[in-house]
Amino acid sequence: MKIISLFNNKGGVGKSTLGYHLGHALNEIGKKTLMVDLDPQCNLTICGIDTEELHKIWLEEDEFVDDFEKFNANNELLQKPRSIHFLLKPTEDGLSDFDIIPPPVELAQNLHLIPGRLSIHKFENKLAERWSGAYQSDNLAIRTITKIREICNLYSAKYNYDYIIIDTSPSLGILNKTIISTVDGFFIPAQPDMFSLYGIRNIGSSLNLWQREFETIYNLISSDKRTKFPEKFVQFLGYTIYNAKKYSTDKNEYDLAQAHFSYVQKIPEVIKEFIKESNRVHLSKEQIEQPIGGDAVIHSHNTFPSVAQSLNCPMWEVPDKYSNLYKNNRDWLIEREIEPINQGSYGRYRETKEKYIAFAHSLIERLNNL
Amino acid sequence: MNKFDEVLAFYQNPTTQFQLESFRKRVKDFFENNPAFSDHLSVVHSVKSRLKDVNHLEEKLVRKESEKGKEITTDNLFNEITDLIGVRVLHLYFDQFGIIHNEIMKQIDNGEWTLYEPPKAYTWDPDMSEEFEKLGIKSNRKDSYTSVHYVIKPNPKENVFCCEIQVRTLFEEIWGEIDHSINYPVKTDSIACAEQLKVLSKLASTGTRLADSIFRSHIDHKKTKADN
Repeated sequence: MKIISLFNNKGGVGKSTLGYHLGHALNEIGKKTLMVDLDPQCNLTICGIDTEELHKIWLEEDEFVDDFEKFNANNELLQKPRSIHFLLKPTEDGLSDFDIIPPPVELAQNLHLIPGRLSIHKFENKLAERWSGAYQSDNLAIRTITKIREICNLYSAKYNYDYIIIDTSPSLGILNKTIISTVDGFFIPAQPDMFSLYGIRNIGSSLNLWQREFETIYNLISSDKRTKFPEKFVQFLGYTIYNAKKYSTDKNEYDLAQAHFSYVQKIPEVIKEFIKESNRVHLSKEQIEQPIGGDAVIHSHNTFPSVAQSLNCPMWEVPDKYSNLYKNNRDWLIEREIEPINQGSYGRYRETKEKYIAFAHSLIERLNNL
Repeated sequence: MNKFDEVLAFYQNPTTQFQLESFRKRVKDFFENNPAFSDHLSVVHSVKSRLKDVNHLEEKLVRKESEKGKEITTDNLFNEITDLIGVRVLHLYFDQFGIIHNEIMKQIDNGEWTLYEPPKAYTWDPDMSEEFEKLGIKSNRKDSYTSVHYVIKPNPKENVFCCEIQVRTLFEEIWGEIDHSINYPVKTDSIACAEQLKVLSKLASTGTRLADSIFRSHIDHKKTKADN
């Protein structure tokens, strides 16, 4: 089992859309996958489940997220899916964990989701408060820092996942420091612009800093506590250009506007300069140069992702899902103000599947080297 | 350019100092705030701790090389110089030592610390040697004072620093302080001083013995009173 995280320093690059479709693509090729939404914006969760359903999950948890002491562990809440913040709550409040693992949301037979929650900032505050305790080998501090990884391992032990994908917010704060430093690998979905170059610079220098902090903690804690952390520091898996406008007129490798393409060309250099070699030992020279999956998912699908999001399915399932609803549950479509979908575009919706599968294969190839 | 500059710079580097300081605080805190040490009269009287002064370290590096032919580098500093962190635990009478020893060994057993070398006792007194051996501590004859030394690490990782813990009674501490004033940094060449220090070391042990006896009588007396 490998835990992967997606990160980009700049929001709005389609990161959650890519994460969601990656999960579905992995599922298509027979890899059992869990997605964990640790971005307070919850875009990944919104792709996966209906807002109504999410609201129900949140509503049931509300009073315990405010104060976990009221929670009684026999509560039937644990028989239904719970948000990631709820799962972290006993640790956040320094109380004992419940020993039941609430079921994840089933998006498909072998694709599961632990929904996000806006209130995750409270857990982040506790991380910040307790961080220095880790240097003193303080039990609660270590528990707080390693809890996300532990939840991944607990779910994996029960459901036997091949991969766990963690979606993150576009910040370099302490929550992401903890997530990215305690997963196995991460990759960067980037748009072909100046922000992406700076984003890679930032994550590179943050990684160096974080690694020093973690190494220091490792020197100070017992070997027993050390096992709660990953053996090796996180590895960079590469970048992918995502959601870029297609210009066939400008003649370059990826059919991008020349201005965009020139940014893409600079990315490998920035990686080599700012992400130090020990954090990308498994990447060949070629893998640093090339986006993950080559040009498989580079170009924007325009309105497809938002349609897919409103139907809570991956883009390639839109035609079937839509025509099914149109036949059997037209009210549902009307309630959600879903625009009619032109049958002429069904083919292009379906074509996305093999592109994301190609992307998933390319990522797996890089993960296998970890 | 002094040949030890690199090692000394590494020792003084903020990251190194931060780690040593963090562990020093933790060990000190363990002896000062451990509930196992707080009965009606605290088992631990006081705790002193320090990081090795950089000048003293330099002297030690020079000594190691000239006396043992051992060259210290940044790679072996932490394993060769085991008292970069020093914590001294003082108690009143010998019977308290067993409690302190057990608590240290508990930390080892539950994996919080690892022993870098077996604990060593130093004493001139054969009776004390026997007491230490009973607790499984190897005893070495020393002309001077009675003291037990542990070298621990936060974990068994290669190249992690050590911390030396010295446990002794207040009486022995007094002897140590006086000896230090007379014989450090230069050993006295006064035979009279050296002789008197030897006598003082017997006096210190006798003090510890008497303290033990007083506390045993005290506890026994309280018990008899309670029984009646």
